[in-house]
Amino acid sequence: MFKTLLNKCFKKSIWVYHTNTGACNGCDIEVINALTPYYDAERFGIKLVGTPRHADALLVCGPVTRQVVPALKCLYDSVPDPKLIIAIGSCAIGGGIWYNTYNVIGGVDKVLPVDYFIPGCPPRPEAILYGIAVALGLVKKKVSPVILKEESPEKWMTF
Amino acid sequence: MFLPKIREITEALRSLFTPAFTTKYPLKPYIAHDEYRGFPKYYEEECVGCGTCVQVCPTSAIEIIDDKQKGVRKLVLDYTSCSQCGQCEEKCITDKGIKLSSEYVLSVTDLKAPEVYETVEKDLAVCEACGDVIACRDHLLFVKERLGAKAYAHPNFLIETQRQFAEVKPSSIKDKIRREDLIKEVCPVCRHKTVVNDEF
Repeated sequence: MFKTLLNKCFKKSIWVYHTNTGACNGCDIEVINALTPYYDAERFGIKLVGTPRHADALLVCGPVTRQVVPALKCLYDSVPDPKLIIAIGSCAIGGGIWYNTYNVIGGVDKVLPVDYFIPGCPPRPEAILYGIAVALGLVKKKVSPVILKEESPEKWMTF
Repeated sequence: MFLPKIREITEALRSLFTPAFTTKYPLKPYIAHDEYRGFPKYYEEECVGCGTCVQVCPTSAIEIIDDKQKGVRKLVLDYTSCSQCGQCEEKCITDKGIKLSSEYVLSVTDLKAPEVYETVEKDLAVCEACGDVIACRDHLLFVKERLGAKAYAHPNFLIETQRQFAEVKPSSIKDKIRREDLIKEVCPVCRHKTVVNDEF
């Protein structure tokens, strides 16, 4: 089981490039937090790279301001195909609390085709890991979020 | 003289037998503690459908949809644009209608996926004269309970209380409502018009 898991993990190790399009740094901190030894995203082969030309996936945080649109498009073009765009945080999805301000055009999906949305303000590192694990096919997608369930007593009763 | 590196060796041995510091998160579920402010959740029995959460939401994640023909009010909460600030929970008039849960995990590929939205449906009290929205029936009952004995001064509360025990049919709509129509479910605007304009 461990071997199959490893094979799945390293079939394609995703290298990510992290961009901020006008966020408050909350989501940025959580993204970096997901790479620290406690959450350790590198066990899935996820690695932060310094240039978009090495990257497979683009992590976008924050609402898209008018000034950043050409830079974001340029960034998108410089990521080699096939590429994955992951919007992190409620701002990157629909503009967040800046949904109707004059300098924000809205979410990332108005500029780029986004593959995965991870809502939250900011999303927990677990939520980011979950989103990326779903993207990699490690975990099956749940319709409902995690709910605490008691184990059924029948399990203990049967011998 | 060669000294064995005792400190390093003991540390290596210790780390060999201690479990890893890293979480096993996606394989094992992690449950956030109770104080964590996750996504809000409606409790349909406690919610009265007043729409305070809609007015208060800074990201306008909650949308209010009134259907006057069917007499149904829908409160649609969009998890993707929610910023988990907790204003809806704080300002809720019943204090229990909407609450932040400790759920935090959601990942979607499509923004119109059904798991993104949570909907509450409430029955509306509609003005019998002009067809405008008065309030949700649960809201009127909630206010009636708060007012106590004073609530019976107002016909709307009276009719709403009657409706709990027996079926009250809406009256036939006239061209102009008169003073005798005041003991009916009428919106504040129509009530004011009748009181001011209707002549004896």
